[in-house]
Amino acid sequence: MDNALAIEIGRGLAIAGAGLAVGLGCSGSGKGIGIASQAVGGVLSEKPDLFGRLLVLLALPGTQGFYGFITAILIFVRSGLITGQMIITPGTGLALFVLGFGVGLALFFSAQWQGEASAASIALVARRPEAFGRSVILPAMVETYAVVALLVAILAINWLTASNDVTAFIRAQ
Amino acid sequence: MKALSKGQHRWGFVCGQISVLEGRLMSYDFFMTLGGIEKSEDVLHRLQETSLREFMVPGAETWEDWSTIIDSYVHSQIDELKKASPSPEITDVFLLNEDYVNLKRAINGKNALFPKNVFSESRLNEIASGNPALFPEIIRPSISAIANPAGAQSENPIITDIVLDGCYLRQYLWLISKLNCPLLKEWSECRVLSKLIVVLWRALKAGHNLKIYQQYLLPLEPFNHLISELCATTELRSWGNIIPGIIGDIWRECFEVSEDEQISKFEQKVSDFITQQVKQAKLQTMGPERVGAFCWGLNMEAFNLKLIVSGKLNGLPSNMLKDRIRQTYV
Repeated sequence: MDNALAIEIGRGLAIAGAGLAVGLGCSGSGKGIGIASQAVGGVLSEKPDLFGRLLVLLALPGTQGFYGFITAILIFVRSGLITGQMIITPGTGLALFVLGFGVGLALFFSAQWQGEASAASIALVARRPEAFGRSVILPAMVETYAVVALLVAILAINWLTASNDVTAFIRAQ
Repeated sequence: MKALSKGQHRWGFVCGQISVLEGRLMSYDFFMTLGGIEKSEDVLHRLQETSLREFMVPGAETWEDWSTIIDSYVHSQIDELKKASPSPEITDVFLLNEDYVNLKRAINGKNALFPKNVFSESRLNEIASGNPALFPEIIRPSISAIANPAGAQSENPIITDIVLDGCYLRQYLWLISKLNCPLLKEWSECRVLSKLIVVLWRALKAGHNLKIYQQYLLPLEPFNHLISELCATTELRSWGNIIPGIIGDIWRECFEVSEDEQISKFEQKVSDFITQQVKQAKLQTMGPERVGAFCWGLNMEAFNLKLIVSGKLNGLPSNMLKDRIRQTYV
């Protein structure tokens, strides 16, 4: 395979992976916050004084969008897109693509489920405002798995884009 | 246990409201306490500590005053939920009885008693002039049979009542079927079946010919065959072999109590059973089941309130009242 073409394919796959991670993460967060905000709106129509507490529960499903953003930025930085020296092998590019897609899926679904869990906690706080502390734990449990996905993404991107891999590829050509 | 519908996020707003309103419902223990208070003034004083307070008016003393207060308390909450609901069917189910009172009055050339909901002013005016064209297809043929031109009194008020009962129950089931929720369907069928049994039971006790009921109540799917069988059986004891499921079990149980108590006990036990059933909806964060369950709970609260207030105003013994208090949603 032509060297330039191989790098082009690798670059394309890596950018697509970053796009999927941020796209799916942000879509999931949008939906999760949408679900929770419906419940918050209803509660606030009856008890406006609960706004401060409910805002925390409302914001929880929003973190997945940021995790997707971090994953994408990390791919851009580590692959050299930002510095203008983007040399990615097709194999590494494919790995980054699959990684971005997998992380994106994890973020997408966890954000939606967290939205559902937040809505349940909002119902709990609406009836028993004193249970706010415990109610935050429920959607926070869902967050654990989004954090796990982000950690895997950070480690995998670092390993995949270690500079020796790239130089080895160039030397082989 | 019936499955609850899932992914009903558009019901989130109204269910958020319900999360708050549920906390204001009165508990069974509270009603038992009210039932045990001797003086009616003390009961009314205790009611000022509840959410009913906003609807109380100075000088309310008679049963009619309190009935109006409780009705407006229920109506205003259900009406508010209707405005916040993505589709109105489930709240309409609970406002339908008021609409049918208005409809009956319109057929007899009288003014509406309750706020208009399912049947608008124009529809009631149309029916008052003998034209049921604006009514839903599901009840229009039956309404046509009893609509009199220019508000003339109906020739046979019993038949008018039977036709309206049939239309009410038909529309009730029709509204629920539009929501496509197994729990609501099961609950509404229990309720309709129990209503039908009570109507026929009272008719039989009053010495009416049940063939008239078969003729004017039907069609009422899925109970057509059952009603025909009940109407053909004038021996009350045999009904126990005809009525199916849990309602049949309750009927047989209530048939064993003293004759004066049978129907009221049956109504109470069925309502307690439905309340237990709808409590399952508390597990749902968002969905029409939650709205329906809350409205049912509100209706049970209104029933208990009316029972206590009327009982205390009429000086009924506490034990008698406590025995009749129905299970509550919270």
